[in-house]
Amino acid sequence: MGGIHSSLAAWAVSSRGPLRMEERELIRRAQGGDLPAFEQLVRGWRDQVFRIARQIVGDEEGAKDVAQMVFIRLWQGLGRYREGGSFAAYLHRITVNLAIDFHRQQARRHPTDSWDPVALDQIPSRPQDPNASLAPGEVQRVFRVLSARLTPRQRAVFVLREIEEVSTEDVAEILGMRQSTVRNHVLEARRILREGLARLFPEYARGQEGREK
Amino acid sequence: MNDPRDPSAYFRSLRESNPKEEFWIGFWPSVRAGIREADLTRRPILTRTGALLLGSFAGVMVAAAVLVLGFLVVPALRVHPVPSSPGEAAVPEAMTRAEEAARPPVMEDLSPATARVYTFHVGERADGTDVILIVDESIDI
Repeated sequence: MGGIHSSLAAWAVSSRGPLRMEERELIRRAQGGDLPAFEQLVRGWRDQVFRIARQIVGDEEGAKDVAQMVFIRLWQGLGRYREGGSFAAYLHRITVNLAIDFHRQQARRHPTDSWDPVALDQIPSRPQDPNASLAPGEVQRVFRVLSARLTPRQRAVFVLREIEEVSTEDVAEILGMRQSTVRNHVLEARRILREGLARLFPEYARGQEGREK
Repeated sequence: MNDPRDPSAYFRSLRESNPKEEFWIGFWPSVRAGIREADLTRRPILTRTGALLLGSFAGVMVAAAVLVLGFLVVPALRVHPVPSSPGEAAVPEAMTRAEEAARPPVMEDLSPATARVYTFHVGERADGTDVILIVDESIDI
């Protein structure tokens, strides 16, 4: 549960939202139909929901749409949420499922290979100075290109475990798989991303190496 | 973090890349509108509370319906009293010949022969309805 706790702590610190004790009260009030309380919950969680959706869906507008659907679905399902269960895991499960569905729909409508030359043209210019820090938007675009080679499940596992630092146990619960499967997905996703990074963005890899020295 | 090409370390910075506050303008109103729309489409025709209320009032409503029916039928019976002796025509004194002619004929094949059929028009002419009453001593009500 360390990942969930750390994500809740990060949320409490970074979101200008209420602390965790207050969160329980907000959930109780929202379960009773209190929309202002639910709005505070949305404000507290929207950044993380958006981040997870963005890494799975691949674009910001789509992720925003998914985040909107997530909170509507959360409102409808709040009555089924029982205190004592992990609210974060409950919310992450909704987020991942809706984001994967959205991504599959988009993929059916616009089947493209993000590693093709046209898609690669959209990548930002490579850094001239290997020690220069990459803007967050550039890292985002690199991840978008490389993660296109991951299956939706691999991508979801990598995003939750390696980016959002949710524990393996919680990722397994969220995605309904065994912890060993989660670990295998992480290993495979890391291998694919590492190969892609070395092949397509060697300058970025060198830049990171330079920064770490 | 030792491997410079570790994708986990490389992409972990994405966790810190949150959108600016302006990005969320209009987000909550959209969520709220979606909630209302979803509530409207998912709301059952009869809510649980409504069903309980309807159930608790059903008995009262049935009793009221019986009373209303009683108020309609009993005065009509008073206007058209049952004949005191067998064979006597159950025609009210105030009934005119025209009204009598407009009434449905007494059924002739009733058994026993002492039974009588009375009709009453309840309600407005267009929207009303005929109440047919069969009376006989042998009928056990």
